[in-house]
Amino acid sequence: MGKLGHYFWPKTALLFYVFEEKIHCAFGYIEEGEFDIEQRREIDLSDSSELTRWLEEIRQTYPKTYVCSMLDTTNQGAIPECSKASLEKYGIDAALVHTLCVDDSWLAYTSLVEMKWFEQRFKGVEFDLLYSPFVLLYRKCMPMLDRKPALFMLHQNGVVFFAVFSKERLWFAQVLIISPGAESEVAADMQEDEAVELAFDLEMIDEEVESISDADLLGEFKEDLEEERSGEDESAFELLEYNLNFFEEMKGALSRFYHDDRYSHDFIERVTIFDMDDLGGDLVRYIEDELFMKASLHSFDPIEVMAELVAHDLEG
Amino acid sequence: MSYSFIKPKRKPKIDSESRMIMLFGAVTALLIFGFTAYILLKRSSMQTEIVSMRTKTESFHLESMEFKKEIARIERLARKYDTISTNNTLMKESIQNLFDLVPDQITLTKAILDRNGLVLYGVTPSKDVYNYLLLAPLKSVFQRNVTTFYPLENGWWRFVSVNEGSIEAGSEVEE
Repeated sequence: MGKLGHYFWPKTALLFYVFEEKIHCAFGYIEEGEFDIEQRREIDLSDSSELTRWLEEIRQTYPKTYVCSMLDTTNQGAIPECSKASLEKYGIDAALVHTLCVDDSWLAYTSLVEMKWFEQRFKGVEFDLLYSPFVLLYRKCMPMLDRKPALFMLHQNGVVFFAVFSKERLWFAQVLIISPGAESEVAADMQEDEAVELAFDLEMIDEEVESISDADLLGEFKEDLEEERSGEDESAFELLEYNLNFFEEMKGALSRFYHDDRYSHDFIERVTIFDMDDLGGDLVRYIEDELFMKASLHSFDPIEVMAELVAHDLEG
Repeated sequence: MSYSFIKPKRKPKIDSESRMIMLFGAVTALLIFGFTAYILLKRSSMQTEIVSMRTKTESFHLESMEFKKEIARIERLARKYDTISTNNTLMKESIQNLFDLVPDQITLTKAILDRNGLVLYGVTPSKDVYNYLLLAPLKSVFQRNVTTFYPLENGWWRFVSVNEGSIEAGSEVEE
């Protein structure tokens, strides 16, 4: 009867994650401890009801359909100890977070409010499994782990999930904000203004201009700058700026890892970046040149990793 | 061990349409099985009844045979009774006739009537009276007549008349 039920009504899952105003979805069957992706779709975030409709359509045929997603909120993290009591040590209020002990070794946590907000964000979708990006990162880097700690980063547009893992445990974890969402526009504008001012100052120094209070000269300079920036150059400049910010945030996090006494320390020689966006190779070069670390960049598909975890959680 | 923050919810094992179809199928199967069971039980009950009826029929048949035999016996008895009754009537008439034959002059002292014939003992005033008044009718009835006379002191004759022949005496009823 069980086999018959499994044949006619197999376990299926709908996996999705949100990236750049798009919901990336995948539907597939869970069979013999594996998840076979049948169909992939991209849905506009503004039309999230289409996701609900698709889910209803799937559930009519496959009642045992599980909904899984990656929790992409920023108020989350991980600590190297697997007890709730340890949260206080790291300045986290245990009452405000939801926790998950991973492999009896480390603890992933997320803000309860943000988790509820995430669940409410997709009305009509009843979540069955919610994965922390740190868990996805851990799963992805598992084959690369050895006794020496290494730095692994999962980059999603504007957010980096920064974690130091070795084979036995998690050493350090932090969420880095590179260009925050709504505030980022203001911040980005401010940064742009600062960049313009900086460029202006440098230009003034180079050309030995008399005074910055000269309004006509400022106007001329702005016009020249706009002319020079063509479309491609502009995006390349933005990427360069973004990579530099990323680099600075990463350096800051590394510094916290090395100097925070609450964490164990060891020298990190290897950096692996899993990229969901398109960072480019420059960042790897900065890291290698500036920090003298061995760096590598890999593309990251959360669906693939979630597929492994879903098969493990539902069949294992 | 789960890697998810939340636990998966329980899922229905089958979809609603299939559940309806399965329910319908189950009810249909139940009805079919129920009806089959009813028919089987009824069949078994009827088989038992048939066996019982056969036994009863055989019993009735035997009883019928016995009744037939009894009826035949009774009929035979009735026929025999009729025969005896007829014979007795005939005998009675014969005896009546016999006594009617005896003339007033002759006195009978004893008479034995059996299957073989009639034996008369009596007293006659003379042989002629006997011969003319009694022997003549006896001869017409019996095939053989033997008479023996014994003289008495007063001149009369004692006689013993043995008559054998056609008169059928009544027989006992045999069952």
